[in-house]
Amino acid sequence: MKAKVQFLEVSGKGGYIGLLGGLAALLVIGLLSAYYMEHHGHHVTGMTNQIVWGMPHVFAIFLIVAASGALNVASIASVFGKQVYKPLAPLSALLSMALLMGGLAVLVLDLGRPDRLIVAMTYYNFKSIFAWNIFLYTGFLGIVLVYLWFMLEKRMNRYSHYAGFTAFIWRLILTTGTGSIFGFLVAREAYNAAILAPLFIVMSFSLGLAVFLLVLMAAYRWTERPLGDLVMRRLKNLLGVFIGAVLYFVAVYHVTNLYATRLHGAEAFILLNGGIYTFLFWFVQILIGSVLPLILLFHPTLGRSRSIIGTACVLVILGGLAQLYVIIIGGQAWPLNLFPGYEISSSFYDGVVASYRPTLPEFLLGIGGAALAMLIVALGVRFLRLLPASLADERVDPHAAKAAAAEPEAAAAQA
Amino acid sequence: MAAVSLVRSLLPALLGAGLLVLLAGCGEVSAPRMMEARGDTCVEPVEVMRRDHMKLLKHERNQALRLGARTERYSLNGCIECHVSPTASREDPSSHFCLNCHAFNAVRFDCFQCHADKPMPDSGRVHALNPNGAQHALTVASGEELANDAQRLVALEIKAQ
Amino acid sequence: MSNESKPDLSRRQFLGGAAAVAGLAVAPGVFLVESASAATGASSKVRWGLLIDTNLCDSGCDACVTACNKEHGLNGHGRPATDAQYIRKVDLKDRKTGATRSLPVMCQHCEHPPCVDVCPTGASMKRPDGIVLVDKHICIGCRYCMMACPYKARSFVHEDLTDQLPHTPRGKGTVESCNLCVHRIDRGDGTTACVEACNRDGGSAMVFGDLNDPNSEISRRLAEFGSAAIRADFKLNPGVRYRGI
Repeated sequence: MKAKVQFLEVSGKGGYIGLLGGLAALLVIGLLSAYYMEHHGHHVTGMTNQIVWGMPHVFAIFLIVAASGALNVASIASVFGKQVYKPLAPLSALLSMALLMGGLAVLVLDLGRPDRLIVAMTYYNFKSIFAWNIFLYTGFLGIVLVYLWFMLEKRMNRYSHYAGFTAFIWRLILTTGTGSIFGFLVAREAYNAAILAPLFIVMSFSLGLAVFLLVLMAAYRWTERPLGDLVMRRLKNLLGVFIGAVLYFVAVYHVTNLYATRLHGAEAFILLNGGIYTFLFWFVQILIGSVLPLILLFHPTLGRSRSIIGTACVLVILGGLAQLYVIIIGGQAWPLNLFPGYEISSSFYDGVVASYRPTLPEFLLGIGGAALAMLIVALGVRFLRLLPASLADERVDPHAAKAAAAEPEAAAAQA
Repeated sequence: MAAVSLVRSLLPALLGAGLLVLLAGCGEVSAPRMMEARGDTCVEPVEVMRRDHMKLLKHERNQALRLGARTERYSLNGCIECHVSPTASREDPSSHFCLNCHAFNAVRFDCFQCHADKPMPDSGRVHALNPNGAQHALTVASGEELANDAQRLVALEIKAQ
Repeated sequence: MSNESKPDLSRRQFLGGAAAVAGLAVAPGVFLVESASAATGASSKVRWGLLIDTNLCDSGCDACVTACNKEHGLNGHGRPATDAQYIRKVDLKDRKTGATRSLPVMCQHCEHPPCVDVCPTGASMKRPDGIVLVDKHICIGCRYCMMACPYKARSFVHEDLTDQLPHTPRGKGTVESCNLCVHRIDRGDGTTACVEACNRDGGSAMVFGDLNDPNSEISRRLAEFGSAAIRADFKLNPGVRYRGI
């Protein structure tokens, strides 16, 4: 017999108010940064006519990519029918909406004319991937909202499977759209690759799950609700698989580019002599953002520790930010090749690697977006019954828990 | 939750105080001192311009920019050549025909974030309706004239309803 | 956007309709005269373009750049990384032979412009006569066009501007680029500031004209000597052509 999962809102006592206050403060600082950038114009940022997208875009795209990935846990439950993940589905849906809103806020506040948001909503060029994305993002928010409602409303429960399926398909298209922003730029040697779309999809899997795991662990720790190893073990193994998949797609992307001689310059720039970009790629993205988390997650003893899993998630997030920095800013820093075969020089930085020094307001705007996302999550779990009262093993899956308890080794680990 | 209940109990008092402040601020409002235009007449009667200048300008802007179909008649530069002195300044809205009225009516517009806000003295261009040229000095219109304009507008407004 | 030829005016206009018509014939002796071309607008039968002969373009000469900056009021703020440049002189050196070339690069006014494809609002646009422009009224400043342009032709206005010129509106937070001196073309000047300056102060390396008119000087020269496009492999069919590269 299976016990019914009980969902409860979190209490507003103790550190909760402090958490809200901290997040709200970060959000206000982010908004002030945006105002500072808009008031003075973008010359107060590190962005120039050479590096037109900077730190805000790294954060915005990170949040948007992680948003679609955060929905995965819900998708596994409703699309692939894995019962163990079902109690986690409402949090997963809320987190994905919150991350998307945070990312979009950063993107919009970095526009040259954010006051013209209404123009972006009323004038469309349907050949533009940006225009598609406006529909993909708003559509995603709408679909996930319906999905969440179907999960929370008992009478609509039986339809939640269909909503979950729609949301799953939609999120795949959404991340394809995000990857295609870069994939369709024919003139830039670092972009112009169809593989960027699936690369962004697997990145969303790993980044979204890393954020989800951190939020889940924090929520259960701070509310002192039981969180069993059964759920954690499955999720951290899944994260490991996703990290491996990202590594595979990154390898395919670079090997493909290396095969084409005309791209050797751009590839050497990222992989060998690009200074900060080479460092970020090899050291942060590959070593501490992918290889180290893989070791930590799959290590037979370390992999069972909550703090080690949390550390691995933070490393994955750092690696993801580094990866996006290399893709977005490294891709622009490498100069356009107007005249193949010639050395080029001009007053407009033709033929030279563009320099970019991110400024504090850009960082603070990005962090403000992340704070907005977390604020939405914090408010959501306070006022809606989204978090299961207990995710202890016997609650999640009594049979598996009993079987696990029978094994002496597992029992020892739990003790 | 003491703070919440405090705010709740104070709310009616706060609203009342706000209302009093607003009422205290009410009084005689005098029309802004508008600059007189060069030339004898505008491209449309004043009632049309007051109400619909933005529609004429928006239409002209789309035709001119996107299709290259420019008419001298409704161009923003044409407005400025007749209505704004070469010495007008964005910093001092009362010296600027458009900014003056927009400030008075509290209507935000952003034409002059991009567009030149005053005529170029040596451009050599003169609007067809402006026989005096951009150099011609501008004077402040008389209050009587403005009052007449306002009365005509009010009469039309009543008729339209 | 709305392309209707009449603005949607409020009722007021019809009330004052008689007066509006009278407004056409103004004070005695003064009549509104609109040029014939004004009503029709840019024609798709025309395609404006430039031909630049790099054999005549001197490396040290920047007459075209200076003229462009003056024509459009591009004063700059002394910050080369963020200041706008509609046109720039690019110096080339062949990696194998060491041969050098110098040429101006500006918006290439492509027939298939990537900036127009990627613009989410349609602010990046191509006029019927082939001129690629930014409609700054609906530009939201997302800079996607700058990411997409293969020629690095566009600039973003990074700070507040004052004292813009009447014929070149430009402002903070929007993207801009060479507009082929569209105000001159619509006025019927038949040339651009850079071409004029090149003929006056430079090596007479630039020709402006209608690529669709076989009898125009630019078309005759193209037919006789041929030409190259920068990054012709992208197949964007730019309206700016070069000789000697």
